[in-house]
Parts: sequence; C-alpha cells; structure tokens
Amino acid sequence: MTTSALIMKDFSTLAFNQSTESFDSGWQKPLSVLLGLGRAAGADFVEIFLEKRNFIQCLIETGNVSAISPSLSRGAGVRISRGSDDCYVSTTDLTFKGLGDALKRGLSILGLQLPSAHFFIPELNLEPLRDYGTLKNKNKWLAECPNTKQMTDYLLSANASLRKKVGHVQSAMSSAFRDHQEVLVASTEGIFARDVRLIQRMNAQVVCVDGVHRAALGDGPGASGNPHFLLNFDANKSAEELAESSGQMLRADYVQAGNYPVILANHFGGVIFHEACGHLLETTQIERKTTPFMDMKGELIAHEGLSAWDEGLTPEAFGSIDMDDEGMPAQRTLLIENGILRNFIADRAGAIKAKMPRTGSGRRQNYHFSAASRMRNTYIAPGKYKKEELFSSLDKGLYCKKLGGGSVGPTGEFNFAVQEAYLIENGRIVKPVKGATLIGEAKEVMKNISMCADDIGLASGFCGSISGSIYVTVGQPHIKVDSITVGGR
Amino acid sequence: MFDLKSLSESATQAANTLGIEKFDIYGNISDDLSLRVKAGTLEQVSSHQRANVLVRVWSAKKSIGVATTTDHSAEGLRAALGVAAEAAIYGSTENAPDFSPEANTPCVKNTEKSVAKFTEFSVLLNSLLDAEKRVLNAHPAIESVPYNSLSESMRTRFYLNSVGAQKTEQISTASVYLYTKTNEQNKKPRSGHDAQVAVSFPLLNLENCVQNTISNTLSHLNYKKIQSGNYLTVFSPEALLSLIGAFQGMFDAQKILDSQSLSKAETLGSQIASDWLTVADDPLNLAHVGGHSFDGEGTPTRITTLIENGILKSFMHSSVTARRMNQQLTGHANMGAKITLGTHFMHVSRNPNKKILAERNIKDEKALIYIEDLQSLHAGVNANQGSFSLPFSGWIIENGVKTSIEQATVAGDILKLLKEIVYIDKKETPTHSGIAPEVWVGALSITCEG
Repeated sequence: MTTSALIMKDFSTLAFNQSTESFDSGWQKPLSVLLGLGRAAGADFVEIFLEKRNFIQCLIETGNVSAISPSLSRGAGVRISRGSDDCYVSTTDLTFKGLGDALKRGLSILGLQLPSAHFFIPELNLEPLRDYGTLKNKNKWLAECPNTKQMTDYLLSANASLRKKVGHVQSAMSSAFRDHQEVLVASTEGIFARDVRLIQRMNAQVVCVDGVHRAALGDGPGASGNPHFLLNFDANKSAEELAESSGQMLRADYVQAGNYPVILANHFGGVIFHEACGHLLETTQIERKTTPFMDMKGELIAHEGLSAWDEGLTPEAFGSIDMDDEGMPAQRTLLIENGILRNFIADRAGAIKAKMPRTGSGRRQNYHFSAASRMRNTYIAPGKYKKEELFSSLDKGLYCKKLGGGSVGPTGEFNFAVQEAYLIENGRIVKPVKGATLIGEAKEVMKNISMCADDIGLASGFCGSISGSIYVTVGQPHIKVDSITVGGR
Repeated sequence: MFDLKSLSESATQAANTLGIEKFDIYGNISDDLSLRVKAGTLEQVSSHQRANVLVRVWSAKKSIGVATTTDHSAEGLRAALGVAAEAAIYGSTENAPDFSPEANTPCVKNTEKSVAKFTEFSVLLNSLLDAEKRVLNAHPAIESVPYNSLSESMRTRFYLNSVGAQKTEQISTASVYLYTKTNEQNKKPRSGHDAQVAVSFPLLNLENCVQNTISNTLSHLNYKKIQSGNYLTVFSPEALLSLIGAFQGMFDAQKILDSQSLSKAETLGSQIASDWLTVADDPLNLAHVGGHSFDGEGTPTRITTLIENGILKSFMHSSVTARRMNQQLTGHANMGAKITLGTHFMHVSRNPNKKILAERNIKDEKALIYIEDLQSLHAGVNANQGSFSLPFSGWIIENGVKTSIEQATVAGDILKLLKEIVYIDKKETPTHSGIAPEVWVGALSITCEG
C-alpha cells in the first residue's frame, strides 16, 4: 500500500521546475498535485488545460507588404465541477503558483474549502504522457514551416498573379497565416495528454469595379498538419478561379426574391449542413433544448438519400485533430444514415448531461474557453447521382456555386449568404445573379435535400460558437434542395 | 496590481539589450467574471485574467515590425520585442507609421468609467437566477432562457513609447442579457431578448432587462407570414446602428487609401445621404459605457462628425491616414501590424433645421415593416459591394396593429438606403452601441419565408 506524504500545510512550500518551453512529462508531478488539491477540496472533477501558441500572419495589398503580425501567447484554463455546478478559470501565469491561484479561485467561487493544514492532498495518478507530438512526429512541424521571408515572397508572387488575371481590379489582397499550437490536458479522470497542431491558410480577396458595377469576392483554402501546404498551394489556379467568378459577378443582376429549387455546389456549399443541422446536433443544444432533433435519435430527420458524418481524422483537413481539447482521441461519428439520426456530437460534460456517447468533440478556441461540443470535419456523404442529373432535373432554379457564412438561431431558423449564384432554366445555367440569402428551418430543409451527387468536396472554414472560434471543415457533394426561400431584391 | 512605470522600465531595458531604439507598446489587461444559469441552477461560471500586449519596433531603415503577446512580464516583453524587431526586417518603409503627434497630449478623464472591485459571486448568481425565474414565470409559453449571461469586467488599457509617452486608464463594465425560447402547441418556437450594460453591477438595470425581455418575447408570440415585396421600413435604433456599423468602411480613411471602401477621398463634402441624417462618433458620451479616452496609438479620442445633414463631413483617421490625407487626427486607430480603424459610439440624429410639415407616427401608416433587430451581419453584409441581405426580427404594422413576422430578410444597398431616408423621429434612444432615433426608409425589399 502506498500513501501520499503530502499534507496541506506543506503545499505552499512546493516548488517544481517544469518547462515553460515545452509541455513534457515534467508537468506530471505539479499537475497531479494540483488536481489532487482540487479533489481534496471536494470537487468532483478538475481539468487543467495548458496552451502555447505561435502565430504569424502576412498581408500583401496590391503588391506591397502591408503587415506581418507574429503573435506569441500562452495560458491555462482550470475547469472545476461539483454536482451540476461548473466553473472555469483562465490565467496567463503558467507557474505552479499561478496555476494554484487559478485553481483556488475556482474552488472559492464554487464555495469549496481548501483542506485544513493537516489533511492529505492525495496526488492524482495520471496516465503516462500520451504525447501525439512525439507519437506522430509533429514536434518538427514548426521548424519545417516557411519562414517569414518565404511567406512574404510567396504571397507577393500570388498577389501579382491575382492582379494580372482578374479584370477591373480596384484592390487585391493576399494573406496567409500559420497557427502552431501546443496543448496539454490533465484531469482527475487520469487524462494526461499532449498534442501539437498546425494550421495554415491562404486567403485572396478582390474588389472589382467597373463604373457603377462592383463585386467583392474571396477564396480561402487551408490545411492542418502539413508544414509545406502554403508553398505547395497553386496560387495561379486560385487566381484563375477568382478571375472567372469576378468576371461573372461584376455585372450580375440582383436575384429576385422568392422560393426556388436550389442546387448547392460541393466544397463550401456544405455550410448549409453545418448551419442547418450540424449545430443542432451538438449536445449543447440538447442541454438548452434549442434543437428540434433532441428526442429524435433513431428517427428519420432527413431525406432517405442523405447520410452525414462528423470526424476529426481526414488527413490535412482543417478540422482534423488527433485528440480533442479534453484529451480524447478524435473519432469518426456517423450523424445521419439514410436520413435516420444516429448520433449527436458530444464533449465530456455534454455526454453526461445529455446522456449521449462522448465523441471526442470537446473543442475550444483557446485557454480562455472551456471545451464544448463542437464540429470538426462535417459533411454530407456522396450520393448516387451525377452532378448533371441534378441540373437536368430542374426547369427553373438557382445554382449556388459559392456560399458565404451563415448562422442558426435558438429557434432552428438558419440563414446564409450566397457569394456566387446563377439562374438555371431548363437544366442549364443562363445568367449570374448576386445578393441572395438562403433562409429556412433546419427541420424542413433536411427533408428537402432530395438528390446528392457523387462529387464530394471539402472546404476550410471558421466556426464561432460557445467555446469561441475554431477551425472546421465543411463539405458535401452537389446537392439539390427541392425548395428554399431566397432573400433578394 | 498593474504598474505602468515598471512595465515601461522593463521594456526600455529589454529594448536596450536588443539594440532597439524606437518602440511603442499598447496593451489591454483584464479580469472578468461571467456566469450563465439554466432552469434555476448555475450552468457555468467563468473567471478570466487576460492580457493582450502589442509591441511595435522601428528598424534603422524606418520599417516597422509588430508582435503581440499575452505575457507582459519582463521576459515576455523581451521576447515580443525580439520577434517584432525580426518582423521589422520585412516591413515596408512606404507609408510606415510613426508615433502619433498627440501621443503625449493629455486625455479627457472620465471618472465614472471605473469601479474598484467585483461584486460577490453569490449576489450575481442569485440576481441572474431571479431574473431567469421571473422571465419563465411571466407567461406559460416561455419555455426557457437558453442564452443568458451576467458578467463583470475590469480592464486596464495603456500606451507607452520610447520617447516617454505613458497613458493608462481603468474601465469597468457590468452586463446582462436574456434570450428566451417559447414553446406553444402547433406554433413555431419564438424568442425575445434584451441586454443592458453599466459601469458596475449596482448600476446595472436588471429590472429593465427582465421586463424588456418579457415584453419583447410576448410581442413575437402571435406571428404571421407576410407577402414578399417592397415595404416602407422603419429601423429601430439598435438595427440602424448595427447596419451603419457594418458599413463603417465608408468612413474609414485606411480603407479609402487601400481602395477597399465605398467612399473615395473626393467623396468628402458630397451628399451621400438624405438631408435628414447626421451621424457623429462620440466616444466620450456619458451614455457610452466602457469608452476609451485614447486610441491604440495614444491619440486622445474626440467627437467626429461623419455625416452632417446628409453631407460626408469627415473620415476616421489614424496618425498615418491623417498624415497621408493631410487631415486632422480623430483617435480611431486600433493598434496592429496594419492599423485598422473603427467607430467608438455612434450618435445618429436628425437635422435640426429640416423643415417638417408634420411629425409621422407609426400607428398612422397603412402598412410598414418595423425592423427591431438585424441578424447575421457577418454573413449578409458585403461591405465592399455595398449590398446587404439580412434576416431580421420585427413586425408588420398595419393601421396601428402590430404583428410579428414569422421569418424574413431585408435586402438593399447601403448608399441607396441612406439617400432614401424619408423621416427621422425626433426621439433619440441610447443603446449599448450608440444613440439613435427610429429611421424611416422608403421601399425596401422584404422576403418572407415560405
């Protein structure tokens, strides 16, 4: 039998020399003690999340380097639960004392008392460090990323290509960022895990003006985990696509408002599923009773031809993670199978409160946020049709080739903006239109997705919600929605 | 306890070690506490210490490098200064910023902007639980208050530079919002909300928040679809301020210089709106909770009239744009690798000299759309194009009878909208983002779902 010799009166004399440069196994002892202190004070659950970030963004505007913005940040979040009460405290002080102060503050907020001087603080027995940085050879990523000069040279060339290929350019902006994040999670459930994440994104925006006609369009591909993504990205191809889109949209008429059958393109078209359904399958929404799908597991909620996934495993996808921000390995979660609701997206607390299986979906923007159930790579699975069959099924409708962002409200009503759209007549594209917004209700639109093509494509995006802004993937094949309301002129 | 003098000394020492002669630092250090409740219990309480410190370093060739850090210790400042010095190697010398000529100019102090300590947690919790309970008990249709929060925040802002400028201010705020969801048989879920902000919790009007949330929710219980078409439209103060805020690029001198604005330098002095309309930015207005007395470059903030009786009078400026356009500083700079500009607290008013035959009343109109709240501005506004297509909550008012609209969007062009203002009410209402009256716009396109 082993006993801990640590008693409360000795706590203030403790000192550790854990590294602030890297989250290694040297953190095991101090975190074990802090977690033990939390339990000794009466908490049911304590989690400590450490984060270190090295970010840089470069911005090129019309041939000039406008900004280079490096950013260094580090901090920690301590989550404490007792019964249904939940407290989260964040700090920028990663010393043992700083973390201890954050823990004590949280305990005090929940009305929990520190043990008396002669009471034991039983250290938590944490698992050996589960280090995805080492296991997956990710510790070298930062060094392999392009340096500032390589980034700016590449972007200057991309910007020149943009200005050369796109007509009527009033302004052309090219930017890229690299976000390197190192996290360590330890909890009273014995979790002790480290991960290294790398996200890079390229962005191009053009404003084109010809007399009274104006068009503003952009493109923002991104990837996770590949240090060479940026320099290997084909900026010329991206510029050509923007040139074609801006050429079409510059003199486009505004779309006439009304109800249309709509074909939504693959790649970023998947934002419709993200907004109209994905958010409503997060357990946070069950807890708040703000999802129309809360009691519908096992029931038909979408057209029988529709299946959908949320997962964190696709190599290099923007929303891929080896583990979530609560230390659980990422999973592949079947959300809808042939129209039937199979699973929700659950973090630890959501799984307990909503009584749903945990799916490795506890995510957060940074240490200022406690993890919540959030999407990763979310997409509608490919169907049996060819894209051409979707078009030929329409006498009159709207083709939404590129979508902007959107949102869903607490009543399940969603909306999103269309960046590039075309009118379809007799199965063929007849003219570009602009200014469209698609609106509707999740429950209804899911049943109106009647055809899915076989050409799935993914796209990178940002998702803002209760635990901040996170990197996600949206995706789908071309899909046909039988009827949707289009806001316009 | 934050000590600007000590931070300045640490930065100077680090700069000397790194061979940096010219630098400045802007920072924001805060402590905040917020809580949410759910069905009579605490859902989550969170407490944060935040620090965001931005350093700029000038190279010998006068190019500039910028870095941000969350670590304002001597070690953190040294690391940030080093990274910024490295970035300066690649920075452009063309139109590079310098210190603001007003970085040393004293600011107008507002002593009502800060309180010293947080309210006891149990007081906050009981207050929010009570507010939730009263909203839930107000009407059987109100099923939950799924989004709610009560928070307190204390911030210290500071600016310093290598030639001795040092500015700091303490700002405290308390805020609350309640957002309901209804559930009635054979009806769609509806919602209503309200938010209040004050310098401190004792000054926060929780009672108003509760009553406004209830009345707002009840006003949306009976709803109908309306026919899509063009309608006379009235914007609430909140809706108008959020729409103008989304298109503030038209006042942004940096965006104008970058050809990313709906305005051009020569637009100044031209009629861009109906002569009913005046818009000023008024950061020091007493109704502005949490206002700043200096901007990110240390320039004192001040009232700037942007539109006067429909005429574009001034742009927002940083020290760079003011220098390049040979205009006055306005105190609108947000410090960054590329300085951006933003309004502080807009004050919309009607032209006092406008000849009015008779005041108009919503109740007298045969039919109009009243837009209470615009949603999804991040997605539905194309600021460079000038167009918007936005979901909203609001009512159709027909001969004085007010009925909530089921779900609808409003679409238009901001420049056209500004010119088509047909009436501005004389009563101004303070909101948390500015002060404005109700503004009437001629036919706008409204699309209703279904």
